[in-house]
Amino acid sequence: MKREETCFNRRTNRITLVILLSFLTLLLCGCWDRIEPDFIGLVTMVAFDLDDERGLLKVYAQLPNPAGAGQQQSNGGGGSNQAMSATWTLEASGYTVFQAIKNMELQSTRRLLFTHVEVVLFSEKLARQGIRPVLDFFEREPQVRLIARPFVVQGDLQKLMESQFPLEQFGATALSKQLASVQEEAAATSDTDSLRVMMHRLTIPGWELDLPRLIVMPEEETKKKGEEKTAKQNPVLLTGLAVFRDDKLVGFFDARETAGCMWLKGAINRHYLVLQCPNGGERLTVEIYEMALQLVPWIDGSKVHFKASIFAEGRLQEFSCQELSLEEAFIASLNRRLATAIRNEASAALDKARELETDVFGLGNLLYRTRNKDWQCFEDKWKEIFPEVMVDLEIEATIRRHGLTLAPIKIR
Amino acid sequence: MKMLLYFFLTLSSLASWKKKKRPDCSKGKDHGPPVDYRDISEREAAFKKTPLVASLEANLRKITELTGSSYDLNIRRCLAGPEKVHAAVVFLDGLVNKESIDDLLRIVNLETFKTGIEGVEQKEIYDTVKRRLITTDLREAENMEDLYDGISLGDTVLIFDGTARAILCETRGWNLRAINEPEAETVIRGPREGFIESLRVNTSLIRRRIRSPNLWLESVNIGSLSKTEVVIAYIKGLAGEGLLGELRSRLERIQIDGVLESGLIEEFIRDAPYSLFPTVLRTERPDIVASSLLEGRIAIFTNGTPFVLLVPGEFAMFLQAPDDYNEVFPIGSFIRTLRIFSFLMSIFLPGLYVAILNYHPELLPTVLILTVQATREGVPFPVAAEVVIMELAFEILREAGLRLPRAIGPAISIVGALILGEAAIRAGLVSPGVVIIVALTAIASFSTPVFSLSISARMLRFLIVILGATFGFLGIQVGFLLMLVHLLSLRSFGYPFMAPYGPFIWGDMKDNIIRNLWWKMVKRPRLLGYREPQRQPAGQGPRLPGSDIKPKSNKSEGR
Amino acid sequence: MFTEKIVSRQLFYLFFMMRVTIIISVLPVLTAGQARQDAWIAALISFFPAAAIVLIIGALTLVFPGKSLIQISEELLGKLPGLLLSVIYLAIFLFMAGTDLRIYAEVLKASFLPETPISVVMSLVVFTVVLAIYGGIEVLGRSADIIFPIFLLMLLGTFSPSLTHANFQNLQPVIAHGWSPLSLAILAPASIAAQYANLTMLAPALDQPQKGLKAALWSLLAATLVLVAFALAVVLVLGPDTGARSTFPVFRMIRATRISEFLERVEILTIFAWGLGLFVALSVNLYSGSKGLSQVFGLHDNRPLVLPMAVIWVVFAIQGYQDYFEVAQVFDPAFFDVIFIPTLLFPPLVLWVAYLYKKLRERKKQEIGGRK
Repeated sequence: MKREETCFNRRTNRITLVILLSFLTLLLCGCWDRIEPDFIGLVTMVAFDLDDERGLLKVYAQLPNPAGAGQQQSNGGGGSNQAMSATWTLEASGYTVFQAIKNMELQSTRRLLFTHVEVVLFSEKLARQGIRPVLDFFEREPQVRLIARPFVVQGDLQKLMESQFPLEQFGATALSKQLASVQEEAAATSDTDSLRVMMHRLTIPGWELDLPRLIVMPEEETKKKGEEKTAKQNPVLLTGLAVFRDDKLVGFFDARETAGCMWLKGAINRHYLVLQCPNGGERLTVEIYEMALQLVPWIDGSKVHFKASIFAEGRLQEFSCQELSLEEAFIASLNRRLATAIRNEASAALDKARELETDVFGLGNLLYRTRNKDWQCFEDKWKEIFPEVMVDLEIEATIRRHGLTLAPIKIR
Repeated sequence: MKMLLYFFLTLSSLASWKKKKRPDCSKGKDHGPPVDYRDISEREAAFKKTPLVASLEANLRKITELTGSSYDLNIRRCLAGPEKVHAAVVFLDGLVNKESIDDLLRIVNLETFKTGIEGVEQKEIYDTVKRRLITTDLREAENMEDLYDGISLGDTVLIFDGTARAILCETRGWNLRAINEPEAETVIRGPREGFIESLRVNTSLIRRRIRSPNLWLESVNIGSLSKTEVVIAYIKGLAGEGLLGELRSRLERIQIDGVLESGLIEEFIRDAPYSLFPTVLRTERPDIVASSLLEGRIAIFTNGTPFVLLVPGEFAMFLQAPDDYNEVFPIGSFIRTLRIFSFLMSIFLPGLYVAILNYHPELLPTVLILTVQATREGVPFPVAAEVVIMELAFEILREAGLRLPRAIGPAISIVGALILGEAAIRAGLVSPGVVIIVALTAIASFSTPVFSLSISARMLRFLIVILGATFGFLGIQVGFLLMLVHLLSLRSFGYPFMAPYGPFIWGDMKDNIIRNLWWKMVKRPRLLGYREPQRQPAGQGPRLPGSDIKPKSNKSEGR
Repeated sequence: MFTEKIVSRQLFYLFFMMRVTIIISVLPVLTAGQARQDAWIAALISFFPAAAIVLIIGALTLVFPGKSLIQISEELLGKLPGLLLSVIYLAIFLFMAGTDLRIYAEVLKASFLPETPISVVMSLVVFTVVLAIYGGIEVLGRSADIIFPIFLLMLLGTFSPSLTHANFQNLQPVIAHGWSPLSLAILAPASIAAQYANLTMLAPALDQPQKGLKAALWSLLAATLVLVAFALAVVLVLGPDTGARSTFPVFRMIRATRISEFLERVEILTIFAWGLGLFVALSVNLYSGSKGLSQVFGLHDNRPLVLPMAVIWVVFAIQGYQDYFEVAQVFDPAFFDVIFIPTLLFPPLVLWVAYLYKKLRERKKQEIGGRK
């Protein structure tokens, strides 16, 4: 037994050695996919537009400047870097996204790496034509992740790509932070926060896509930018929805309609409503921090009805109405008025959606999920019958708390 | 006259001791020791064969002839008994305690003259003296080999004319290093004793810790010339007999001229001689040895070195330190987990750094990769080269720090670590990231308690860097698997090296990644302590004062 | 002779990792057939046909404990017919290992190492496998011991973050189109139970060969639960449509998961653990293949065959499929259920028939003998 073991060991050792040596030669020719960090041009923001003159797809890519970034971190950068801007924007056109990117590489000293793409922008022009041609790029290419945040830009896309932000170094960080904070603080934009959600929305039946809308600020504000290093004003406003039908942009929701849309989606995180004081011209503010939605479809012959019950909980955020105290009766009346305000918002959203003929609330999807048999009758013509769909709103709003003071200040 | 001659001989041998090694050179000379063309093995053989004879003069002549009348060989002649029997005392100076020899001579000279003593004639004086000697250890030698064995250990030989035997009296006494805390294995909490170069002292340190008659110490002499005493210590009835037999046969197989350190024995008895990983644990700490003996392991003491070997070695042992056991168990578990983590880090961190920067930059947050890019602007080397250069520089620094005289060591480490690193970054030769990674790896590798394991981690690190630079994470994965497969195929004296991780033994996990409460470690390690799995009764946990419940039966906790 | 043994726990780990690795990579319940949001139901049901396959193959190890399929077929059918039957199984091992290897290499090539030659990627992986087999089945069992917790941790680390993005509306409607769209989705993962053919080669190496089938069935159950969990996760996060369109659905799900700024884009870690599972799967196949071949040739050790076989496997994995379209076709029901499953079940069924025939004849003989 022992002899056999040693025999085997010696043989194994020799064979192992031979294999090892032959594999070591692999190392000599290796390193195919290696890329040194200083050869990487890191793209953090991509924007898609149409090249009207030639009918091509135009792609912008924003690269943060590592030297600019390092300058902020370590103070030993030296004087020469001072002139460098924080980002660099490339622009190229092509029939396909990939072609455009390859054209972009021709202008770049570094290999473009799309692994860190944080923000994807679509211009209004492209979105109205349809975003389908660029979608495959996100799915097939391994570098781009579906965690990037999509936006639709109303205004000059190129200016946005090149603009600087007062607090943030790079556009991509700025926009994703802006989206996160707006989503957190107000129901003023879409809850579509990543390409994953966008893709999902595009593929499920009976639910149209909506994306956050960016409005680029007018020209005059950024004129100063050339003279002074830092921007005085945020170059972009994030408000409202860009509403799609299939993959085509059909219109925008303003902030109020957006809020209504969020009510009907049950997606309100935090929202406020301003009401008039019952006894005068002053206003009071109620913040909504909790909501629930119950949507029930019922089918009456060939007509589809929905009953939307919205329950909202709020907090008296600002209350400076004179001569008023927080009595029970007063709160009850406040609740009623709050409910009316919510109903107005929701109706505005419904009207706008009917006007644009697009089901951004996912009413069709609700049918598909819960009454699949009935859905099969409507499936093909849902987009046509959506404007006729009746939605009954039933709203119950409650103001639960009033903050740290009871009555407002009385000046005598 | 004869004394004069001996003196002369001794002197001349001193003068020509170098030439003695080459008998050819001294050919044709008139004086000096007689020319002898026998080689070492023939001399050794002759030495073994030579018996003692009845004549004192013949014996002494033989001794001087065989030992070449070395300068430290002392022969003190005396007369014993009223019949004035010739006797001699032979010892090696420096190995003996002079007072003991004085006592010995007093007995031989004075006791034998006392009145009323029987058997002082030449025939019987040997036995009489032997009876009357009051030394602790007393043996007899009948041939030159035994005799010289005794002398070289510090014994004193007593030879009487007319008796073909010699008495060996224990008169050892030489200077020993004091028992200090070992410098390479320090602890925060635990005994401060460490082994020293003396075998006797070392075994005594173990005896003091385990006062059981079942602590057995077996002695072997290894080395045809050095005749180093090697002692196997184990707890009889706990250590596996198969393991013992295997160890004995492996030790007996060793045929070498000299054993100067236990590392030599380690290489002879190791299972996988080409492996980077040590499969035999060596330590200077008696508490580690004692606790290993209690687990059923065997310790190998070697004379002349403070390093004791422990077999069978297990991977987990190399990452354990006495502090784990002496601190309360959450702390012990934490530091042990930390150590395992830092061991893995010391192997993989530089490779991971290279692989991430060169192949998978997407793993880094945007800001971090921009910072890395910025700090790498102007650095001429690729990342992999940078890492390898810095790692090599660090290894050189570490080795130099080890060899440097104590007085200038700190100065060099300041120059090396601070000035060199800082200057290299300032000059744009290396990027700060690499310096951070190398420093972190170095610190992590020093947290491995056993040097032999941390050095193998260091060597593997370079392999991982190369693999990471060639194939990215795939390379690191391959490196990890190769290491794993190798480790798993290792055995130490038939015991799987990676137990209890692979083969996975749930019961032994209590003392591996974490260190469980002492009173919960009811069982001995399964593979080693199979002879008697129960270490202590279960249910010894703290109880409310006054509640005198009997300990639970063993079965209830026997998981 | 130096006999190496594994225990049934290690067998469980081996089969679990082998099945989970491949079944999660392509997630056939979702990509094959029209199950869509009902994929998890299909996954749950797929246990039963898969268990049937395992039973047909595995029960042989109970009847002939300590014997591999090669030895059983020799005993029952005689030298030459037995050999012919064994060759089918050897080819199956080759086929499965080659396909596994190709899929893994394709994942790596599609996502991380687009320029590295596929042969190099494969050789590297196979190199580690060869060394493991040189270590013997014991080393394999022990590496399963160590890799299993890492693998499990990876599964958890992949699964739990995805729940933060879970949208449970994606599961509706439940079985809207009846059961028929599910049938293919049920059969596809069941066919991959072909991996359990390895049981016939591994069971003799068990210290208690009778426990092999039990461990295999438990591992099938555990793997089915993991499959259910991941089918759910993919549908919850990506939606049924995006999931079904993906080449590697779980992989894409991780790519679309954002835990925090620091922990995004970490799918390479999954690939890392996945590679560990693949190492196990390939090792088992290579072990079975080489062990079987050595028994066919009557060698007492399988080690001399390992290296040549490994080379053949790499060549097969590269040359067997021209492109990934062909690899994807392997999981096409038209191939798997019509050709592969009958091929897989043919040898054990023949053996069962032979065994029962033999039993019957023995009984008859006994009866005749009893009369006399």
